[in-house]
Amino acid sequence: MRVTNSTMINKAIRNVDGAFRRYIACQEKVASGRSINHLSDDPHGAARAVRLRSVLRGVEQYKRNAENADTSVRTYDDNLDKVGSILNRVRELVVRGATDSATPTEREAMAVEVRELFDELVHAGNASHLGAYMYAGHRTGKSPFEVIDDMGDANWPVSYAGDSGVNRVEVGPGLTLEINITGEQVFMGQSGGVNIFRTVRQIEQHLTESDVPKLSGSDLASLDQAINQVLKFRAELGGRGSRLELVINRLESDSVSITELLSKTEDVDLADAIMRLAEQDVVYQAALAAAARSVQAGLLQYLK
Amino acid sequence: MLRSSFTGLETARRALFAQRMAIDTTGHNIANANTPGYRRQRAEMVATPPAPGPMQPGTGVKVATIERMRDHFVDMQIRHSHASLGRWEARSDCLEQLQEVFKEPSEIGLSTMMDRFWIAWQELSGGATDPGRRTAVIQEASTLASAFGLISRQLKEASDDIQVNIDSLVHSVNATAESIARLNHEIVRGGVVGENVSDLMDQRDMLLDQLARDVNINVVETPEGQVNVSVGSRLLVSGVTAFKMDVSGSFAGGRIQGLLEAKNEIIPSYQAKLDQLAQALKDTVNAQHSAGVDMYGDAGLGFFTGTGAADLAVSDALKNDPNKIAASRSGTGPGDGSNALAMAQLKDALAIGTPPTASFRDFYGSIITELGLATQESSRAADVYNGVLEQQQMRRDAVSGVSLDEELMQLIRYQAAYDAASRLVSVMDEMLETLINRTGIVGR
Repeated sequence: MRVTNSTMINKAIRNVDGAFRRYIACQEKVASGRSINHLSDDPHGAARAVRLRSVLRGVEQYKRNAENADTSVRTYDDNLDKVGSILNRVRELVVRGATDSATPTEREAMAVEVRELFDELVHAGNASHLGAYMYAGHRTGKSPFEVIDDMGDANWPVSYAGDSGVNRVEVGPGLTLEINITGEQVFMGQSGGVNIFRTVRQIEQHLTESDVPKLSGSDLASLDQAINQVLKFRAELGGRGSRLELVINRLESDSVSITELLSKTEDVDLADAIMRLAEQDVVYQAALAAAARSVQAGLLQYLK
Repeated sequence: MLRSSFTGLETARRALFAQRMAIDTTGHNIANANTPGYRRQRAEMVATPPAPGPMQPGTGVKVATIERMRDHFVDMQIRHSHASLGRWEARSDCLEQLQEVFKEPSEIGLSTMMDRFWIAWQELSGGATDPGRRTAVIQEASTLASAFGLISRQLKEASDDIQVNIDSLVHSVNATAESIARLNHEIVRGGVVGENVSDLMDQRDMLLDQLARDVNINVVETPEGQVNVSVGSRLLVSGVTAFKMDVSGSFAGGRIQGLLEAKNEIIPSYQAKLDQLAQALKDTVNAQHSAGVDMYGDAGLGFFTGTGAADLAVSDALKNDPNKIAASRSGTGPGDGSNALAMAQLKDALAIGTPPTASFRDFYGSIITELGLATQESSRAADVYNGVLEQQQMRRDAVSGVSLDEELMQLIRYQAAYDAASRLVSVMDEMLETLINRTGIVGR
């Protein structure tokens, strides 16, 4: 094929242009640290990256949910710990009041303390966490327990305004965990438990009346049942806590492996990219040098 | 037959004339070495016939024609490549613009906004009474809705820009067609009076190349040297008459076709998919929302309003009062976040298509994969035609291009011949001198 000056010059321009474009593309990769800067760089890879990032955001959210649930489990546990110590104090008083050595005056003083402990129990039952009443089920807007002084009332001594609503959070795709305990279960002894408030108020009454047989009999028995009831829920909370810990650990490792996968998909292998950049730099320089030489050469230089 | 004594002078004159013309032609080539569209010319010399009779030597040389070096076939191929390249470049430009509109992969694309919307519902499910989380749901939903609106608007703008582009290209095609018709006229007129019309033909060829980039043209050369240009089945230039181009016709290539495809097929298809996504999001979210109960114990209102991506928005009632978000399922109390949780779980639910076959994320993923692949295809096709065009232009150059080295050698050759012809004049002169002044003087 006949080669003319413009063929040569056009070719040189194209070569330099192409080398420069490849050089710039390599530079973009190194500078941005990403191997996919536009969808068209790697359409499937880009879609995978978008998907992985979305999955990663989901996992992070599950982790946040689990951590929040963990906080609320701890809050319930602290609260029930307090309830447990109140009941233990009541038990001490009952045991002392049930001995024959205690005088009726002493028992009356004990009754006053039990009344105070009862108020503390109600207070614990009306505890709130993040602005919501903890034991109210779904009716978190108002305090669930209200003291009723009228002994004739069916609800005496405390009425429950909450419900049996269960709150769940999602800690994995389709995996939900209960995060609340209702007052109905813990304090009111719904479904076979004891009504803790009633037990304590009855103890107060029997102390005032110095009714030793009842104190040492049914009162002590139902108080022990109440203490066990609280312990049972604390055990359940402990179970939830350790389950959450497992979930959080698993989510953390998911998060690490997805991040790694994402990085493999869209991050540039820097060592490789810099090598390629250096390579393209050499190619570009060579193209320039070749262009400079080919454009100079010509018969004219040799004619006198 | 006896030869005239002066025949040699005539032969030398012809030689001087022909070599001069060849030198001038070489000069013209050198002068136009860098002129775009210029095709090298060559003075075709032929020996003039000898005088009749036996044993007659020749009578010298003449320039029969000034040949314009070209290859019709390559010219036609180049025009077709221009048309294909123009089409793919226009598509590729449009798709690259769409990539910028969708802004993926990044932290500011639609997929991020969707994720954040679902996360806000997740948060709300864990604390339905928290006013901050309610406001966050409204805010993320508004951001998502306006992201849909922005993309939709940018698609519309891209489409409008393309229309402006098409209009201006059609205008320039019409102007070029008129220039070609004018050149047709000049070339025929010049040809009739025997002028050298090579340079006018060069200009016309360049205009044809230019035209081919915008529309795929068919060029037919008439024996008189005119060209007739047609686009599809319609004539654009017929002899000295130019017609206005009709955009509604079909084109088998060219930038205008690429732009029309972008405007009529590519952009509407992405717009439709975006609308489908927005519509499905609106319907699914609204259905779930109305299954729940708000803080006042009322059933959930429509969460989103709008008819597509362009006007998707959070309903004003909810914007004004986040307590109207129906986070609760049972209506038993404000602490119930079960409907918010059900909403958050829609993230992975199959919601698009009848019957639903794709989640929002998968559907969106398929849109951007398709966009990426289409962009890749277009830019690769453009690269391929660029390469083809480069090869063809090299072939055209091989026939038509000016090589300075070659011209310089021709120059030396013609100069030598010219010098020799001049010497011939001297020789003839000396011969005649001898004959006239030094002959017949014996004994003087």
